[in-house]
Parts: sequence; C-alpha cells; structure tokens
Amino acid sequence: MLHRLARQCVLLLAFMALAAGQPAFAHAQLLSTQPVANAVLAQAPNELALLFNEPVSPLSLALVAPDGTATDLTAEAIGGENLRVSLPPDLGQGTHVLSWRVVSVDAHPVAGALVFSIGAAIGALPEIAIASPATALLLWAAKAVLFAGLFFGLGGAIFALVAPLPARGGGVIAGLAGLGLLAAPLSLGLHGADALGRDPGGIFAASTWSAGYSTSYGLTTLLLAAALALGLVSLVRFRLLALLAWPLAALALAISGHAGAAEPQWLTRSAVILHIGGILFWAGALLPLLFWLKSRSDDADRALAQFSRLVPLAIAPILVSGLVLGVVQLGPPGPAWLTPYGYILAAKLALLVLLFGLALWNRFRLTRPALGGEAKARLLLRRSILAEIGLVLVIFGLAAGWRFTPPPRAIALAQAAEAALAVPAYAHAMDDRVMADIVVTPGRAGPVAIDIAVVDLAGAPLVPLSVDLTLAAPALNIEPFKVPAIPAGGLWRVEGQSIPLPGLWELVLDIRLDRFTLARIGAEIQIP
Amino acid sequence: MIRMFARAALAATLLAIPAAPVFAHVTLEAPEAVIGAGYKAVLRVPHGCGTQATNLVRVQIPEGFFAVKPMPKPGWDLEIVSGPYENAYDNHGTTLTEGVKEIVWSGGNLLNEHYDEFVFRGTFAAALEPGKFFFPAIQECAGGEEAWIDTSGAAEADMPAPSVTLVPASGGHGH
Repeated sequence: MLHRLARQCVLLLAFMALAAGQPAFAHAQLLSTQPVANAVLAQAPNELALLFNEPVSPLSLALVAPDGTATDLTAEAIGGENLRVSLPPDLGQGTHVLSWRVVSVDAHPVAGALVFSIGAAIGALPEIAIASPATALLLWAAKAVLFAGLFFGLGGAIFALVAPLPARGGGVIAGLAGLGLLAAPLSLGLHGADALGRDPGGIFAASTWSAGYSTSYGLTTLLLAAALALGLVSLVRFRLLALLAWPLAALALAISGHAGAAEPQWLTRSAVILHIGGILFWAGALLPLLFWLKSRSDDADRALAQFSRLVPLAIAPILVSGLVLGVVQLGPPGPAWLTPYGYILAAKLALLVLLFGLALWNRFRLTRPALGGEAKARLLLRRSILAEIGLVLVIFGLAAGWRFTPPPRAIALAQAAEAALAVPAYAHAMDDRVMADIVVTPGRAGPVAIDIAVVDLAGAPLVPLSVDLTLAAPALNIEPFKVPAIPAGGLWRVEGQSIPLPGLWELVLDIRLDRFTLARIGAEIQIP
Repeated sequence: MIRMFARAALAATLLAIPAAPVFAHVTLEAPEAVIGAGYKAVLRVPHGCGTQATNLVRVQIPEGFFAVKPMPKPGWDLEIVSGPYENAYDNHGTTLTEGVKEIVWSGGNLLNEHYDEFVFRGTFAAALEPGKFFFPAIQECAGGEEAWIDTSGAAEADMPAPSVTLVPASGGHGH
C-alpha cells in the first residue's frame, strides 16, 4: 500500500515538473486599444492594436464598415499580448467597428468591439454578435456530465485501487465513466462554438472544432478522454491503469482554466493537480461506499476501513491546494472580491464547511459503530454519504460557473490599468510675460477635459480676454487644430475635445492678454 | 534626439500655425521707415469681418512712435486715446512726455466688398532698434472683430499685426 502511494507521489511530482515548465499566463483582460475607443481619426490607420494583460490568439475578427458590410479580418491578425490587426486600404469615412473575439491560454474566449471613426462619426453602430446563451448553457451541462463521469466514474476506478468494488456499484461507476467519455468530445465542440460565439448548431461546422481544439481546452479534453478510457478499461481488466489515469486527469484540468493559468504557474498548476487528485479519490469513494453500506459483508467493511484510513491523505492536499489557489486568485483584498467570482467562492466555501462537517461526523462518530455492525450507524452513514454526493455535485456546478467569471486578480489588474490611465497629464508653458499650467484629464488619448491656468511670471492670476488652444502632433501626422477655451471658475477650460491618439502632442496657447496684446506660448505633452 | 526634433517641431508650430484661409491681411502701405524720421502710416483694410461690414477701426500706437496725428475721415468719427509715454521724446526742441496711444475711427460702414485706408502720421524715436515695428490693429463689425495683433513676426502667422521695417538713418540725423 505504502509502496503504491510512494509511486503515486513520484508520478504526481513528475507531472508537476512537466506542468511547471509551461509559460505563465492569467485570465485575459483588455487593457488598452490603439486607437482608443471612439477615436475620431483624420486618416485611416494601417492597423489596429489591442493590448491585453497576457498573450491571446485571434479566434474571429471582423471589421464592420459604416454601411454595415462586414469584412473578416481573422487572417490579418497577429496574436500576442499586443494583438495587431492589419486593416484593408481605402477604408471609407465614417464610423467603423472592429468586432473581436480572442482566446487566452486559460482557453476562455474574450470578446469585444472597438469603435473608431475616420473623418467624422457617421453611420449607425451595427449589431455585434454576442455569445449564445444556449451554447453556454449546453457547454455547462456537458461539462457537468463530464465532471460527474470523471469524479464518480474515474474516481470509482481509482478507489478500486485500494478497496474492492461492489458488484452493482461497479456497473454504475463504469456507466458514469462511459458517459464522461461521450461528454468530453461534445464539450470540446460546444467550447469551440462558445469561443466563436456561435449557436449550439455550430458544432456541425469543422471550423468550430478546430477553434475549440486550438484553445488549451483542446488538450484538456484529449487528456480527460484518455484518462476516462483508461479508467473504464481498468474497471474490467488491468486495474493498475487507474493509477495512470489519476494524474492524467489531474494534469488535464491544470492546463486549462483560470486557476492553472495564474501566476506563479509552477505553484498554481501543482496546486490544481493536488486539488483534483485529492477530490478524485474522495469523491470517487462515495458511490462505492454507498452501495457497500446497503448490506453487511467483509468486503464492505474492508472498503469502509480503507476509506477511513486513507481519506485524510486526500483531504490534506485538497485543503492546502485550495487555500493556495484561493489566495492567488483573489489577490489582495479589495472591491474586486465583490464580483461573481468572489460570490461563487463564498458559496463554495460555505458548502465545503457543510461537506467537511458531514465527513468529520462520518469518520469520528459513525465509521467505528458502522464497522462494529450497528445497523443504525450504517443507515446514518449511508444517508450522510448520499448527502455528501449531493453537496459534491452542487460544488462541481459552482466550480463550473467560474468558467464564466474572471477571477478578482485579473479584474483588479484591469482596474489598476484603468486607474493609471485616468491620472491627469500636465504641461507648463511660458514666455517672458505669461505662464500657463495645462492639465489634461484623464491624461490619455480619448475624450478629455483640458484646464488652463494663466498667471503672470510672479504667479499672480491674469484675466485674459480670450484663450485659444491649438493641438498638433506632427509625429503622428495630425495637423494642428484650434479650439477656444471658455472661462470656468478662474481657469480656462476646453471640454468635449478628444485627443485621438497617444503620443507626443504640442499644445499652443493664444492668450489675448488685452485688446492689443496676444501672447503665444507652447508646451509638449506626452499622452500615453 | 527625438526630443530635439519634437522641440524643433514645436518651435516651428509656434511660429507657424496655419489656420482658416486668409484672403488678405490688414497692412501698412509703406513697408519701410527710417529710425528717427517721420512716417505716414496708411493702414489698408481689404475686407470686413468675414462678410460683415467694418464699423470701427482701432490702432494701437506703441511706445517709440510719437507726435502722432490721425487724418480725419469723412463718414467716420475720430477719437484719440492719449496717455503718458514711458520715455520722453524731443519733437523739434519740445520735450514730449505724453501723446496719442490709440486711434479709433468709428461709426463708419466699410462693406466687405469695399476697400479703404486709414491714415495717421508720427515720428519714430531715434533710440529704436532696426527691425519690425508693429501697429496692432482691430477691425470691429456688428457681430465680431478681426484682431490683427499677432506680433510674433512669423511668416505664416494667421493674423499678423500690421508692421513696418525700421532701417537706420543713412545720413546721420534723419530730419
């Protein structure tokens, strides 16, 4: 027995080392775009860029022209942290929309639209295809079946490594593993349809499958199917095959999903492997025990005793790895905790407390009398295990819901990027008569408010007759354009203006100091 | 390096902000004047404010141009704003410490389709340096103004102030 456990540990460590070698990624969040959203450009850009917090691959990109015609640009996109899309020449005047859908290494698609205008904002915004709720629901259901097959089917086969299986229960366990084996490819097709934002009918298109397989979930499905097949075979012959299927399934779930994608990856992937490995043993034992407890036999007692002896070895890694993953995924405390991800985690933790309560009751109050042959204890234990199975199913359902929520660490990162961009940009301009402090809020490309404080060289406020601001960016081929400032509470303010592109901008102020005196001062400002 | 280019480009922008097309500027007829000598300034107004008729013309007399007398104009009211000079000037033996600072022709109606001239004379102080000397001028119309007050001297200036180039007197005292 101990020999077997040692071998399992070696295998697990080997897979951990393998998994840790992968590059580190996190759930993809869009940080910025170029041009910025809703920019009005003087000339058509050659390419668009979307900056993410991690590398992404294009799934589908389309440019919708002002007249509503869509051009597929998927082949023109180059993935990476900074996704770049080459644009066709001769884009017409008016408002264009780049509808994009990308996938990151955690296999979760992210979609959005970038609106920009050439010349002027003309043209109605076209409808953007959004994810199909039916596909998402079916995907969730397919994954639920897959997980049930995995944890109760393969898990049962794993439990069979240390204890005999009940005759009838063996058939149910094999049936569940078989169902999981069917659900695995189905979930891959639905994952592809979800990634491309297609209806469930989309799984009949080859492109859906290649899109699904091209994500990291493709390899996950392959490994899960292999693990389930091995588990199924092990139930009939070659019982030790379950020993191979065990780490395979744990590894499969570590290479896609948010948790295995978080930094530092050697830690999170190892934690996911331990977490899944432990759950496979614990959850897998529940069904066989349920069947064994129906009647009294030596085999039944042996199975219960083995479970009771070994389950702490599964619980400890589940708790430790769960704690590690929770800490990594939540990030430092903040408003990002109060998101669907945080709520799901809270619900899961509450159910876990119930589950552990039942498990402790089983182990310390019921197991010994049940082994001693007390009928009441055996009945209570059976009911308790049934309740545990129910709780485990609900917890799986909740965990599957994480598929649709970015973890707080990624949300916090996106918020921090947003906040960093909202910081104002400053410039100072002066000549031998007059000085001006110019504040651009927010200090980034896009719609801004520009406040101008005009003072004399001693710093005393001046009351000019008028202030005009001229903006130019010769390096970006943007010709000067002049906008009047209006007095606002001792300052001069330009509102409703847009700085269309990030870069080095030149600001020139025409300040009418009195009827006959014009001061012209300028400054540069870097707009990130 | 890039920063240097950016600075140079900024300087170029400061000197030359292109803007709405300008048909013609308000200018002075005689482009040159002699330092320390008298000068007859003929201010040429080629158009109104946009399409509106000009009702008022206002000229600033900067320090250094003294003993100024405007020429009255039929159909226009003439007003002079006087004040103390910063320096004292010798006008044929008389020391001048104050004089005309601003001339205003008002109550007229110079159509955009028409052209007119506004005349004043005075003397450039002997202490002035050679170079451009600006007379900021403003046209006022019913619905706005055209302020020819940009004294940057940039060739591409949007609305340059009328100017005259001062040159040194060739033969000693320039009377």
